[in-house]
Amino acid sequence: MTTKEKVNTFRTTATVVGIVYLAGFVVGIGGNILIQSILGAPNHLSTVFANSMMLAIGAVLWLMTVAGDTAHGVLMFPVLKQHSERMAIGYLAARIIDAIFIAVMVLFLLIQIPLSSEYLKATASNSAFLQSLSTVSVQASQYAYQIGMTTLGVAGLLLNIMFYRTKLIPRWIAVWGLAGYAIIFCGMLSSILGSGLGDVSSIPGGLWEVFVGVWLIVKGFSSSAFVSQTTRISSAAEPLLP
Amino acid sequence: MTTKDKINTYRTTAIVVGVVWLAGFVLAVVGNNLILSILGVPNHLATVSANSMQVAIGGMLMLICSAAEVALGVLMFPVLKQHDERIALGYLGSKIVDAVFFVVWVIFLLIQIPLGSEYLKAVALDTSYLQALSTVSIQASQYAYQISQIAVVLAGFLLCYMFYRTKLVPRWVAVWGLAGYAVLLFGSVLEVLGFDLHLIQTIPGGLWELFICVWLIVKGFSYSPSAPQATKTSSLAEPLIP
Repeated sequence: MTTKEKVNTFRTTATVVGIVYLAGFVVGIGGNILIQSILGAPNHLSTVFANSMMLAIGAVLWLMTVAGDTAHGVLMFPVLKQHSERMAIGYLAARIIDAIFIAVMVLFLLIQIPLSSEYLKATASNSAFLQSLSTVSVQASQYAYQIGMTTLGVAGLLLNIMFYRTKLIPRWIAVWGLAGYAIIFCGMLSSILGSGLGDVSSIPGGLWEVFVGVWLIVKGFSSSAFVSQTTRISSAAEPLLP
Repeated sequence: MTTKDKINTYRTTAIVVGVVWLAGFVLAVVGNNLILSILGVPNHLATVSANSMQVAIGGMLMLICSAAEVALGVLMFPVLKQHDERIALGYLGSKIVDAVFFVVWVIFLLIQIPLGSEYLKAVALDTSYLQALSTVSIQASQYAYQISQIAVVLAGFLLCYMFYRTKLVPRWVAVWGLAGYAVLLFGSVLEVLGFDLHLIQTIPGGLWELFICVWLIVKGFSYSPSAPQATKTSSLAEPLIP
C-alpha cells in the first residue's frame, strides 16, 4: 500500500476523461440529428428561419463538444507529460485545432439562419443566388468538419501511440484506437477530395471512443504504467526540483 | 528578505498582465466604435468603400486585441501552473480559441469592404443580392463574436476559480469575476439562440475586467505567507521526483 499511496494513478482524471468521451459522443450525435432534421429537408432555406431555435440549439450542443475536445487535451496533459512532454503538448495542440474547426463548422451552419431570413424576403431572381450561397456554405461547413476530424485523427494517433508505449490501457485497445484513428484520418482526407467516405470512416474510431470512455470510467489507467514512471522521469535529465 | 527572495510574487507579470488586458480592452472598444460608425449606418454598402481605411484600421486594432488575448494566456501560464498545471493549460487553450474567433469576427467585418466596392460596380439586379450577402456576413460576424465570447467566459471561469482557490487576489474580487462571467455566459448563449440583449450581459464582467487590470497594476498578486507555494505543489499529488 505504501507504494500505491505514493504513485498517483490519475483515477479521477480517467473517470472525467471517460465521461467527456461519452458526453461528447451523445451531445455530438444529438446536435447532428437536430441540425440534419432541419438542413436535410428539401429546400431548407424556406423553413430554416421558422426552426432557427432548433438549429441554434443544435449549434450550442456542437459548441459543447468543442469545449469537450479542448478539455481532452488539457485533462490528458499531466498524464501524458509524465511519459513524454512533447506528445502531451502535441496532443493538446491537435485537440485545440480540432476544436477550432468544429466551431468553424458550427459557424457555417448558423449562417443558414440569416440566409433563410434573407431568402424569405428575396425576389425571385435573388432567391436562386441565396440558394446557391446556402449550398456553398453548407459544403463549407462540411469542409471545416472534415479538416477538424482529420486533426482529430492526428490527435487520436498521438494518444494511442502513448497508450501503446506506456500501457496506460491494455495494448489491444491502443491498437484498436490506432487503427480507428488512422481510418478516420484517411477517410476524412479522402472526403475532402470528395470520396464521401467521411461518415463511414468514423465508425471504428467512434466505437473506440465509446468503449474507451466506459473503460476509463470502470477501470481507469493501469497503475503499472505509473510505477515505472519514477525511473523514466529521473532519466529524463529534467531537474524539476533542484 | 530571505523569504522574499525565495518566493517569486510575479510583480512584473502582474503589471504586464494588467497593462495588456487594459490595452486590449481599450483597443477593442475603439476598434469596435470605428467599425460601427461605418457599418452601423443604413445602407452601409454604398458608403463603406469610401471609408474603407477606417474599417481596416478598426480591424487592425481588433487584431492587436486578439494578440493581447493570447498573450494573457501565455503570461498567466507560469503563475497558474504553480498551483495547477491543467487550469493553466485550460486558460491558455480557451484564450487561443477566443482569439481565433475574434479574428474570424474581424474577417467577416473586413469582407464588407470588397462587398461595398462590388456593390458600387454592380448593376441594379445584383445590388439586392450583395445587400443580402452583406447582411448574412454581418450576422456571421456576430456568431463568430458570440463563439469567442463563450471561450472568454470559460477562460474567465478558470482564472477566477484559480484566483479564488489560491487567493492570488482577494476572494471577493474572484467571486465578482465568477458572477460576471456567469452573466456573460448566460447572455451569450441566449444571443446565439436568437435573443437580443443589447450587450447588457457584458456589463458586470466588463467592469470586473477593468477593475482587475487596475488591481493587478497597483497591487499585484498577493501571496499569503500561510500558504507558500512549495507546499501546494507537493500536495498536488504529482510525484515528479520521488
